[in-house]
Amino acid sequence: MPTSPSADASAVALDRALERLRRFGGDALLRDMIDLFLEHAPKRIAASRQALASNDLAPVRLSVHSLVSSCAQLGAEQMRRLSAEAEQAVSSNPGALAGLLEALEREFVVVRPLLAAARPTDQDAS
Amino acid sequence: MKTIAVVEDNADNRLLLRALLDERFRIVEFETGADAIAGLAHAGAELVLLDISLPGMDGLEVLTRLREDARTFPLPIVALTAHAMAGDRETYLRAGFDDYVTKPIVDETVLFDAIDRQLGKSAA
Repeated sequence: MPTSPSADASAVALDRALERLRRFGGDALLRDMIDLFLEHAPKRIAASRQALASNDLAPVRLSVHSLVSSCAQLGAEQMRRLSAEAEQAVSSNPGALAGLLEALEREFVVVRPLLAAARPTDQDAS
Repeated sequence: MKTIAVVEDNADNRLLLRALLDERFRIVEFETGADAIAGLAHAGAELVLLDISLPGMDGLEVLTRLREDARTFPLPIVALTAHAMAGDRETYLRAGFDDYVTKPIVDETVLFDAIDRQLGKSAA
């Protein structure tokens, strides 16, 4: 099945970022960065949704800002874009936040297996 | 081996910086601005990499507090930020940072050059 141009671009961004991390610190760094992302990203999204439900926007800003940086480092381009939009929306359009956080959750479901598949094994990283 | 302090709340960014720097430098890490202010006076650091978006006390406030303390006043402080808007560099330099590096770190030589530049300046 042919993939869409945006899916291709996302795959290229992911591949480039993962290769860069391998260059920075070998398989051990790549494995640990993926592990941290898979552990922290869903917690940050959940924390943002919880804070939004309480109408407390400061924690939302911090959580999505952290996601911008983490997603960019791992090449999760669509998640990075959504996180950046959410960070912007905290001050300019809070009404858009719920939809953006939902989209982030959906995109994490797409990204998670890609990162899990790219994760070096403990044997590779030793 | 010189000592660099990393003030960064995100574990993944600290991990990455450690991987890039720990062959050349001793690294001390602080997760919050308050911890950095309390610890930097005694950490023996020769340079600080300071994240701008910290929870609680942000990087700009940490910078101000470090400049107010005679023990940390002369330390070169490099801003680390995921904000990469036009004019940011000038804004942060005007605020009192010595240098500015954007995240994500794509080209490690940008980080190394900023560190070498600042350590060279403070050694001169």
